[in-house]
Amino acid sequence: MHSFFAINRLSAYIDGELPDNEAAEVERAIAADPSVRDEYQRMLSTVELLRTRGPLQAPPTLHGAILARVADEPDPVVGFWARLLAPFHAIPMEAVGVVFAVVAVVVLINQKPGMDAPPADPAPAAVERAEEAAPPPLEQALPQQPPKLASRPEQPAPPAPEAGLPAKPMGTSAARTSSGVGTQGAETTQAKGGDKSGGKKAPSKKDARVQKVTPPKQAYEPEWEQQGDDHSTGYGEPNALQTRPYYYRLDPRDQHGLRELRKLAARYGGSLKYLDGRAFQDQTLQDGDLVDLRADVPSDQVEAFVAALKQLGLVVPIASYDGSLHGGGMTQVRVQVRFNP
Amino acid sequence: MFGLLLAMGSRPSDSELVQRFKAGDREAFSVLAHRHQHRVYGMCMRMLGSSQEAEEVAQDVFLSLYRALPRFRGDSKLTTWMYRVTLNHCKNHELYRRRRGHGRHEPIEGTRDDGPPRELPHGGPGTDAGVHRLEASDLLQEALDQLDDDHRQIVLLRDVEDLSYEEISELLNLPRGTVKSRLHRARAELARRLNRNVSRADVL
Repeated sequence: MHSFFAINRLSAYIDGELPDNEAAEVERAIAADPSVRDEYQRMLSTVELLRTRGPLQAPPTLHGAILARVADEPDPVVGFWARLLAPFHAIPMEAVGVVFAVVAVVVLINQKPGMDAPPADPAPAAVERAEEAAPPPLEQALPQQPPKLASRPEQPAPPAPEAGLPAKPMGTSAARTSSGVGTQGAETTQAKGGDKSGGKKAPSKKDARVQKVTPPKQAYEPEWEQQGDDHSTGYGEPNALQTRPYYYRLDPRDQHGLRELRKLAARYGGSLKYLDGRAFQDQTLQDGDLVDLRADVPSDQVEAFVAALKQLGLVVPIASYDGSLHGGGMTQVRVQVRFNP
Repeated sequence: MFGLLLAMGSRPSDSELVQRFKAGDREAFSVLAHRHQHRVYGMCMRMLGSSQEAEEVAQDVFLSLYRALPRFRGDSKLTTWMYRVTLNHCKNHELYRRRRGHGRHEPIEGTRDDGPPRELPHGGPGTDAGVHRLEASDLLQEALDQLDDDHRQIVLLRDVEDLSYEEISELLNLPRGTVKSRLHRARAELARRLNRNVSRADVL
C-alpha cells in the first residue's frame, strides 16, 4: 500500500475499523515506511491523550446550580395521555408493532367483501336442508329456497342463463355439483344464512376459498380469469339474486376491468356506453368507485351477454333489459361495477 | 425514593428515570442531572474553552432538558439526545460570543502557529506531577481550540466521550463514511497542533 493511502487509513486502523486485509497492509506500511510510522505514533499519542486527559469533572457546585435553576421552573408539562400511558412505555415498540400487524391482518381477512361477511338473516335450518339436498339439479333445489327469497316481487328471479344458453353455457349443474358448490338454490340459501348458522355444517373460510378458486367451467373466460384471481377481493357487487358461485372475484390489482367489460360487450356485438348515451371511455377504477353503464347489445345476444356478466360478478338489474327497453333490435343492459380492492 | 434506591445499590436506567420524570417525579431529574453533569460540562468546557462559560452553558443545557424531557420520545438514547442539545447550546454560545466581538479565549503564549514550539518542564525531581498533568490538559485544550468546530466536536465525541461511529453518525446526522474521514482529518490536525506546541514525551 502506498504511504499516502496508509496514512489516510491510520485513524480507522487505530479504531479497528479496517477490514483485516487493509489493516495488514497498513501494518506493513507502518513497519516499512518511517513517515507512516511517525504519523501513526503521533496520531496514537493524540488519541491516548484525549482518552486520558480529555474527560473533565464538573465543579461541585454545578449540580446544585442546576437544581436551583430548575426549581424556578414550573412542573414539567405532562399531558393526560402521557401520564396514562406511562406504565406501558416499558413495552417495546416492536412488540406493539407485531401485535398491531397481526390484528390488522385478521381484520382485513375478515372484511373481504362477499366472502365471509355474515348475512343479515341467518337461516341455519335452510343451510342444513340445502346441504343435505346437494347435489340436486337446479330445478329441484329452487323450491328449497327460503320463502323470503322466493317471494320477492320487486326482483324476479333472473333467467337461468346457463340453462338457456346451449351455445355458451355457463356451466352445467353437474359441473357445479362436482365442484362441491351445489346448485343455485342451495348456494343462495347458503349465502343468505350459512355463515352465521354456527352449526357444524356452516361453510368455513377455508371452504369459501376453495369455492372461490374452483369456479365452475364456463364458456366465456376473460383474460383476468385466465390470469388467476386467487389473491383477489371483490369486483362487482352481487345483488340479492346473485349466488356465490357466480360472484367471480377478480384480481384487485386489475383496475382496468371496465376495459375488459367493453371488450366483452363488443364480443357479443354490442357497445358500452354511459347511461346518457355517451360512448364509454376507458378509465381506471379507484377504491370504492361505482360506475353506472349500459351496454347496447343485440337482443338475441342479451341472455348470453348477461350470463357472461354474471360470471364476472357484475350487477345486472333484470328490469333494465326487459322488453320496454328494446329498440332497433338492440337491448340496453344496465351494468353497475364497483371496484373493491 | 430515589435516594433509597441508590442507597440500596439499585441504579435506575435513564429511560426509567425519564418515565418517572414524565409521571411528575422531579427527583428523577435530579438523579439524571447528577449522573450526566460531568459529561455535559466536559463537552461544554472542551468546546468553549472556558470553565466559567462552560458551567453557565451546562446549566442552560440542563434547563433545556428539563423543559424538553416531557416531549422526549425515546427514539434515540438519552445521552445521544443530550449531546445533541449540548452541542447546539455550545454553537449558539459561540455565535453569541462572536456577535459580541469576543473570540475564543486567547491561547497560551507560545502555542500559536507562528510561535516557537513550547517545551514543558520534565517531570524530574521537584516537579509537581499535578502541575504537569494540568499543563497537559491545558495544552490539549489549546490544541482543541485551534481546530474548527466540526473537527473539535467529532474528535471529542469519539475519543473523549467514546461514542461509536454509528452513534456519531446519528448524532451529527452524517453518513458513516463522512464520520470516518472527518475524524481522520481532525485527529491528524490535532496531532499536528500538539506536536507543534510540545513534544509528545513531555505531555505523556
